[in-house]
Amino acid sequence: MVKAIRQISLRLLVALHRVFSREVPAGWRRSSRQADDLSGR
Amino acid sequence: MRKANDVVLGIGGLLGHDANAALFVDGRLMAASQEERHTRRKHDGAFPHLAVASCLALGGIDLRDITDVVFAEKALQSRLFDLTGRSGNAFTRALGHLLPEGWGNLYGQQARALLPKAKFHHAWHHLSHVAGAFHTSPFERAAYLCVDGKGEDYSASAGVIDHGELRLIWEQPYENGLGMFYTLITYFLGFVSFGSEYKVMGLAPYGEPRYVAELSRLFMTDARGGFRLRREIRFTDQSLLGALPWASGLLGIPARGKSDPLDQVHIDLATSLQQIFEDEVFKMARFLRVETGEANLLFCGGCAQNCVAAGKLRARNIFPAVFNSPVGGDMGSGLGAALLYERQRRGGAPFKAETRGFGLGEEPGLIPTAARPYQVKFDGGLHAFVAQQLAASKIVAVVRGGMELGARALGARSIFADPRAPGMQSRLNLAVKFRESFRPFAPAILAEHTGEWFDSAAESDYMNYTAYLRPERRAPLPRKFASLREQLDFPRCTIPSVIHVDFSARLQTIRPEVHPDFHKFITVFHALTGIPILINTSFNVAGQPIIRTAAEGWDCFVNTDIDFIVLNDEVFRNPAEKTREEKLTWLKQFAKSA
Repeated sequence: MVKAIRQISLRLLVALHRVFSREVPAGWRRSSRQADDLSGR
Repeated sequence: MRKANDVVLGIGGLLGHDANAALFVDGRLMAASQEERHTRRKHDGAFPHLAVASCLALGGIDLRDITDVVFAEKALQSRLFDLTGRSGNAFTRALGHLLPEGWGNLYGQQARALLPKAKFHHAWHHLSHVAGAFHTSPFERAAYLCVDGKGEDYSASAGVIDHGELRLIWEQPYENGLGMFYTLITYFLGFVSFGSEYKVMGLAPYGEPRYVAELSRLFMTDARGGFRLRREIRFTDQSLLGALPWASGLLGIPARGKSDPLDQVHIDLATSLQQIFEDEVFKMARFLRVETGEANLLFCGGCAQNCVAAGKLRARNIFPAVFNSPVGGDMGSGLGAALLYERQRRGGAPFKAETRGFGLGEEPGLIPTAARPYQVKFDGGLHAFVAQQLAASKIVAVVRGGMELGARALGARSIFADPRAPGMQSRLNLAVKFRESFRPFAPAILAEHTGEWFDSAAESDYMNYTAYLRPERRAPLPRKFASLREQLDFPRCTIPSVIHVDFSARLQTIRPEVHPDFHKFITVFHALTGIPILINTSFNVAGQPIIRTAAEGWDCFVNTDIDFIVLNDEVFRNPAEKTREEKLTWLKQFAKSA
């Protein structure tokens, strides 16, 4: 049950990510990452 | 067991290969190890249980005392990219804070089960490489260029680092960048096992760059080295193999099968690939030099293991000083991640990791009893005995001291031989390493003599740069060779086994303060022969990870044509009891990853 919920949630997240992101042009671009960020997963 | 306040474990390999671990205790680097050395599976990407255990044993630390674990990747961002093919953004980064450990992190749950009290941290993958390079380099401040197969969702990054500041300024999105291009053509040339790019680099000097225009159809680039393949490919066998017909169509050349003969067209493709790769790296470096104005460059990431490009990058003087990380690939990512944490813990106070020549792994351990009947007694000391045997064209394996971290054996898990001996390259390749005959070997040279033999006297402590034999030491070459074999066998200098057909060599310069034992071996050999150089190649056979223990060393030794083995301080001769068939049967267990 937990596994199924997790799978559905993940698919939903992936779908949301696709909607809210777009393909980035090739080449160097300014980074918005915090280099020393050790948080997250 | 030691009691400590800060016990930091760095873990790398979440991207699915080269799992590894590094241990810091109260700010001191105690140990680092790769999982493949313990499991005997090359590039093993499983959670590094054994590497962690080895580090803890070396540090005298109990598992429960680990206070912090730093992963060398943000696995959730990587997984989301794998699922969507889209670069991360503020939305995905917010998810990274909110979602539980098990989401996308293959190692996280295992680590939590193992270490319930530790705090967990996740570094950006490229920044693990950068910290690993900076804190093992001689620089106090530098620009960095990290070129990799794959970060979480980007292929290259660049910025500036000093002890207090770390800025990631530019990045190239997606994994279908320069590293992927090199891997794709490596597959195209029939080298289809993970991590075979170095074979193509070794093949490149045999050919001419006749296919640069054809290969250029596969990608787009710009004046700053902004590079992208014209087709989306992922770092999986399935995706890479699936892209070969596309590449073949654009190149007008069929892909080479794994067992097909290696023809001139393949060799020239390798040469062309290497040239494009170097040109792109130079463009990136020039861009970075102009943009940052820094004098020093750190070159890191998996692509920095291309020591030919690194050597040329240094020789080109785009930056006055270049440091190519010896653990720039993922096998050093756990060390880098722990260093990233350490620099934050110290709040910007300057520090460098004490790498002990990168001999950060365990000692060889007990000598197997099977070896005892073959022990050799000698007078005059170990180093003198080994040097005498080498001068007599014998091959000697050495398992002695702390095991090295990284892709290269630096004298502690090595095979030594005389670079002057005719046919030594073929003998080592075919009867010892059981690998392709074209593969070159590296010279280890006393650092103080480097300038007498090569065009650069600069340090290369970890076999991380190529240099070229001085012109006066080269024999004149014929205009054309009839075959690769003839090219290989041509007596091009007095040390042909370590000089490639284009007179290049992947140098290891030996300084007593970095590698004292190895320095002693070559010093005695030099006194005996007048040559300050030995062949140094890793102690393993094709497809096998480098030897870890004395027992593994003995097992490998008796299945090859190596003449002597040094286990700790003792020497043993080869029983020479195995038939060729028995050796080949033994070898088959490693064939899958060869």
